[in-house]
Amino acid sequence: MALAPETIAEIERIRAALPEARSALLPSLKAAQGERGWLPQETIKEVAEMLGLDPNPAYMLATFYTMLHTEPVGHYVLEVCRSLPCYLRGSDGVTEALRAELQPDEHGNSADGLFSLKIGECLGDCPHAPMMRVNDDFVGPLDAATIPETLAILRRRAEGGRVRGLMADPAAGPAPNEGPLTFSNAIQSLPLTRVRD
Amino acid sequence: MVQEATKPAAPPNTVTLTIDEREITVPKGTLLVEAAKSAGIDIPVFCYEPRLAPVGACRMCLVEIEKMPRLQTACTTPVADGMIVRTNAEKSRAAQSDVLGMLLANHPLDCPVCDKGGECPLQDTTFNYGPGISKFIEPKRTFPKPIPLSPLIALDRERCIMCYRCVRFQREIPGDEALTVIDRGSHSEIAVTEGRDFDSPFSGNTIELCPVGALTSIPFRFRARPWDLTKVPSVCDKCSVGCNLNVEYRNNAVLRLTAHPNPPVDDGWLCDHGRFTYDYVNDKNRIDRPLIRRNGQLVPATWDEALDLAAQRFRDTADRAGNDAVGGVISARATNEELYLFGKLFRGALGSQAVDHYPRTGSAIGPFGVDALHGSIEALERMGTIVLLGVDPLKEQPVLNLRLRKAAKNGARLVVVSPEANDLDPVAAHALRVPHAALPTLAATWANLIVTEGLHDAEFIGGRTAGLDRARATLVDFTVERAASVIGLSAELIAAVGRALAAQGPSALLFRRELSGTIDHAQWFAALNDLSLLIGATKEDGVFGGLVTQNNSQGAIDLGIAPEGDASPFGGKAPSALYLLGVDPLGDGRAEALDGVDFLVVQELFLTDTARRADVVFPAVSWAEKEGTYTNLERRVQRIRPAVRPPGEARPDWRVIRDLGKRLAPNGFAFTSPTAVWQELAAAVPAYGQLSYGALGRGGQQWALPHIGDGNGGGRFTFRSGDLEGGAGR
Repeated sequence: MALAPETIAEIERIRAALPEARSALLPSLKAAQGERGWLPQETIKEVAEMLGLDPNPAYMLATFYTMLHTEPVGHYVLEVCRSLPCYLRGSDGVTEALRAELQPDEHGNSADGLFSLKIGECLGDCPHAPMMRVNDDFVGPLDAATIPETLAILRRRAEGGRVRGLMADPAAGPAPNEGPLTFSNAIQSLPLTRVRD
Repeated sequence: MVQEATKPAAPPNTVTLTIDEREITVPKGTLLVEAAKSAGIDIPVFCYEPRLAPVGACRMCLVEIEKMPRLQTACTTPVADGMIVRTNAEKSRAAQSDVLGMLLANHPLDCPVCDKGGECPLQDTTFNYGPGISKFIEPKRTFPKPIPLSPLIALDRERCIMCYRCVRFQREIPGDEALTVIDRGSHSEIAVTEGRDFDSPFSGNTIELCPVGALTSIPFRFRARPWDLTKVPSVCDKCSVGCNLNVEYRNNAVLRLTAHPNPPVDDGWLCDHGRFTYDYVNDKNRIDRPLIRRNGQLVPATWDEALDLAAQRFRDTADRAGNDAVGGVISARATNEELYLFGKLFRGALGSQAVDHYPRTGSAIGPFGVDALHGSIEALERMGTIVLLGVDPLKEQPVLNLRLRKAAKNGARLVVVSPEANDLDPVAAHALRVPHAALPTLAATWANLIVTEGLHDAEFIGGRTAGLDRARATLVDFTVERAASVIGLSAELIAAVGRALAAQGPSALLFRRELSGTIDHAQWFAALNDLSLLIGATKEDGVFGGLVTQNNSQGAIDLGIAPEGDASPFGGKAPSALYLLGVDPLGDGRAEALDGVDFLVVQELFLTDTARRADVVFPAVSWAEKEGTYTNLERRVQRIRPAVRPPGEARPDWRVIRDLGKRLAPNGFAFTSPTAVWQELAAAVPAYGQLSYGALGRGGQQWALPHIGDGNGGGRFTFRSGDLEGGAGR
């Protein structure tokens, strides 16, 4: 499970741009996550060793930030904000609706491997409460009643054949590089949904 | 005349404030929690620990400060002039109770089966400040009960209150990041990377730092409740630092060792080797009675039989083959009292010079004319520059390593010179890889560079030293270019580091006494002597010395338990009769030491390979069972105390040596206690005579180095390399 040459090159570029090895840890882990969508322990160790750091703080960082995953995740990682402003605007209802639709397993993954449901803390987008993060995009305000439609749009987009699916099986290898998925284009028609630029 | 009434101005750099209606003056920058403590006011804390940087994580120390809108954490707030603080008024009390309520929301009520119960800060603080009844009715969060983080330490995540003391300790003190915290918010857990142990050599300190029962000692778990243990303060015997500890025992079994802080020595820390190595004391296989060889077999004997036989054979051998044909080697881990008696037995009662300690410490006479460290462990914290030549304290003096890291944190520039990777490299200003064989050349080169470029303190050198001109003549060949070709480092680097050593400010030079390979140690010490004078390590505020390795190597040096000439029982002419106390040459791969020995007496805890070959075996007692004193690497003499009784018929080692002495000499061995031995020892060794026996049991006392006037050089430090033929380190 060694890091790919491109990832190694990217980490070296990040390291060279920063004065402290520790500062390079977070962007390097993010780069390494690009390979299979999540970070196996081996990968975390490898990144730490590349930077000459102890694996423990790398593990701390990987588990602290919700954008980094230490378990396999689906193509879409949905992180619903549960902090107070979103809660007051009904985030618990949104979460329930997502659970009902996705039937996630104990790790939060849907059976089709397309979605991972996470509950997170404030992402700083309170004006659009209740909101969630879908991979790198913020989506909100959400409405529990239209959650099935929202998910249907995401599924349709996935069926376009541009989806990696659940990457639980490292043997399947890295996903084909299709360029960045700009989620905002896909959900322009979502009802009651605002996409942050 | 006394002027009327104006209040005396507070001394500069102090701050006066009011805590709970009491006016308190403390140094500027003091944290509120410490200011309160100095006035005897208790502010409850969990995450705060004076030896770690404050974080304000647990919120337990909230206090009310006038003119501040909210309650403040006393552990992170520095004092300010005129501050009015209330720690026990209604608002603070309510906050303390609420914080405890929150900390207890998920804390299990398993105190009756928790190792910490009875010595638990959470328990005590809840009793003093807590709500008594929880506001929460929700089920508590649960985790699988304790997970081993290592063979030594178990983690119970339910009990953890996330004060981060353990994680902060590992990061700040040994600097090894051996423990971390994963996830965030209320999901945070203390953890290590999967597949890895909590593998720090200092991990045991986190057990004591933990304010709850989250981190517990696996060897000690469920063995005893704290209140059932008896604590005896003593001194660790595992290395030359001499950290203080409590021997805690029950039913005559040592169950755990805990720190007994003696800040100048150990800062309250212990290494894991010192903390967890005690099982052997309780081992059922220890020798518990004297044995003598009959018809080829070692069989139990009475003390009188064994002592009579040993004394008789020693006397016979001396009469037949000369006094030096009876030799003795005593462990460098023995007490001063045992060393003294052992020396007296051989030199006095038997007239033999064949007496030694093991492992033998090579002589390293400093510019003071004595073989001991100048300065102190604590003084290292105040250094501007610390040079380490060939030493790796993590391996041989672990807790000293923590002090060196602390010094680096305080701003000392560390120059680490060692043959292989050194634990201190990451905190060093310069880390150089130099083989042992090249160290004398390097030291001489730096000395030459400093004196050639005039970087030394001319006033000190001119006023307090002699012989520089002669030394210069021999040092002059040691150019950086030549050193570069010998060592394999660039001339620029060698010169740059050499110049850095000469920077002003207190400086320390710690070195390895015995270098491997064929080294002329006289030249090595001459080069060190001169370098130490030139960088100022021998000034009053400096530190200079060769690090010893065993808990009482320094005592063996001070008491002269080493032979003159080639009379050493090890390595020299083998004696016909040999007495080994706590020494196992067969186990240490030195079988040749027993060649030609036809009567062997061994005093040991266990039937070692050497003991199996003996003609007489005396049971030895462990350090936890005896009384006496050890001298640590900074010549601090500290007292150890007996905690448990030795097994069976075993007697304290000093008594065994005394009883042999009684049989071999008409008088001079009538001691009735180790204290009586100490009194004679102190009368015989002037440096020890200045010590107060009482102080030895309360943190110990350093024996005083002789005034410079007593050393050679007519009141001055003498440059040495000029005295050598052909110069130093060639």
